[in-house]
Amino acid sequence: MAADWQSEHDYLHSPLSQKPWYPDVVSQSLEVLPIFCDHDGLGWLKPIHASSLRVGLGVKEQPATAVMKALGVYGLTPSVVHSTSWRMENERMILTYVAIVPHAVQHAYLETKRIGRVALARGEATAAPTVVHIEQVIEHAVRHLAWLVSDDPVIAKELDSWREVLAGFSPEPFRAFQAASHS
Amino acid sequence: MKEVTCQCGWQTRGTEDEVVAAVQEHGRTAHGIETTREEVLAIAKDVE
Repeated sequence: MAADWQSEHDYLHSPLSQKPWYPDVVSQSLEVLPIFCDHDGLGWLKPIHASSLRVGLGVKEQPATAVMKALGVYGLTPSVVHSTSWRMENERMILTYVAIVPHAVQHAYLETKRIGRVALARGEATAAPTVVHIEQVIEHAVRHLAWLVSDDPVIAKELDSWREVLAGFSPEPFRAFQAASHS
Repeated sequence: MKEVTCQCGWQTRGTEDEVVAAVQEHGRTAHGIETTREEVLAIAKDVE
């Protein structure tokens, strides 16, 4: 009995995490994907010298507020801000937000890219993909939007004009169920 | 250590002197902008 009690409480003898605590450290990196839809379809904006827009996220900051503030630097005011994924990169957690902007902008430091189709990065049942390319992050984000536009009344209202273009993207959260229902 | 991220996505990290020099060089070559030490330090953030 005593041995059972000891084994059940072994976890008390070692800390759950050895990570030091810093009150002001940036906890995550915030990735902002400004996405727009025009007569040529979907597009997104990135800094000319980086694969995507990244900003620091302080422990006291709200991510959506930080997204709005970052885009304000470029003169952009998004109508929708929504988190779509996370991933590990160089031992740092990247939290990705899409930001719906009205159109592409002509900015000296921003580059416009069109959004094509790519296969998603897939991981294991208990592990994330080891490599995730930015195009796959965007594919996942757009599929997430495709789900939201049919599930979230607020997003549905904001992206009503996007329904046709989003219809081509399989809503990721329900894809397994859709496959099962067709079999 | 300090860090500066330009609006164009370019980023640098290092000591105060290193960051000032790197930002001034980047501003000059990439954007044709001359920056003072004070302007660089005003936008630099402290990192661990």
